Amino acid sequence: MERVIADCREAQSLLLEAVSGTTSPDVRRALRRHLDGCAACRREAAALEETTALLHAVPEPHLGDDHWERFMAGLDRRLETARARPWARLTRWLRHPGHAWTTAAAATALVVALGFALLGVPRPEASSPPAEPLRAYITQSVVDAWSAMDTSLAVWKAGFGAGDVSYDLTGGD
Amino acid sequence: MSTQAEDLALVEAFKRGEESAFTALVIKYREPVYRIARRLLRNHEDASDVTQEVFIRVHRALPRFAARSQVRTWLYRITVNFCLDLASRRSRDARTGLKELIWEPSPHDNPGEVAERRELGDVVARAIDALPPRQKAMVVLRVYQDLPYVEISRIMGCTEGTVKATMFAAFGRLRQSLASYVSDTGQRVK
Repeated sequence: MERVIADCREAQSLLLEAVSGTTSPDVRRALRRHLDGCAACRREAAALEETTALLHAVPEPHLGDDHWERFMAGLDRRLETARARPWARLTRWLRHPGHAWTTAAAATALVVALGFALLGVPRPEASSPPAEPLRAYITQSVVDAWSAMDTSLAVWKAGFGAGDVSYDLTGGD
Repeated sequence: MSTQAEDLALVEAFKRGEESAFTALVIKYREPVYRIARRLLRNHEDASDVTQEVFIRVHRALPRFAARSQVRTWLYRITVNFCLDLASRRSRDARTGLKELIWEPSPHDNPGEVAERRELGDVVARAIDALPPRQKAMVVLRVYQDLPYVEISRIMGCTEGTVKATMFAAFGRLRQSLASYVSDTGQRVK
């Protein structure tokens, strides 16, 4: 079905699209039909075309012959520096599809180790005295914070599997 | 193979560890990225630096590229955002005035034509530069990169209707700025 332009407002909106760049053939055909019978839109089209022609009258800047060669060399240097960073090397290695099983195994081992650390290893008795080198750092504020840390640890442990903690998996908010 | 399919194949190859696929993407898009940056920043050094920075970011982000948009759209969005950020920082630094023309002559050009085009280039560059940043970006993407409105809307993160309205406003301003170069009937007068 052929496209029909309803009024000059629609025509002028499409005119800008048509003169400023590529448009579909059906839009161009519809515009041509409208312009054939509308002097006001023809004037508008001429002015828009002229403005666009002025914008195009300034050619693209001239780049030196060796510009892209220097650009690629600079980009390579910067990428090489980025690649050499240990964290970048690790993430690249982890992301490599060939290392998928190793990455999965390492992640599982990490989760298991964390689980043991949080759930399995008994915390030292509160009454046991701190090791000699640490004694100087156990200030009153650390002692005061100890009970809050105990509470946080209990909540954290509960979240990892205690049956009496209810979870709203649908979000709850 | 379409450009889009070719780009996605390059992205997949890069994800598999083929660094040459990234080089191919750079070679394909370095020029349009540079030209967008050059039009928006009006300065060769800045445009060149931005082009390099865009590809560094792309290299970093490419492994996570989920193909929700075309590679080209994504690349241009990074470029435009980077340029708009830089231009806004520059304007805060009170860098005013046209320091560099949008056009530089080739060594083979005729000196008379060079002077004339320099003057016209100056006028056009000032007219484009006077536009608000987002209007300027849309004009550059449409007029100089010939991108369809729908792709511009994805690059700029707005609706197609907003692109149309913004382009309309931008051309209104451009026509005012360049009025002395265009007659009532649309004929060039200078």
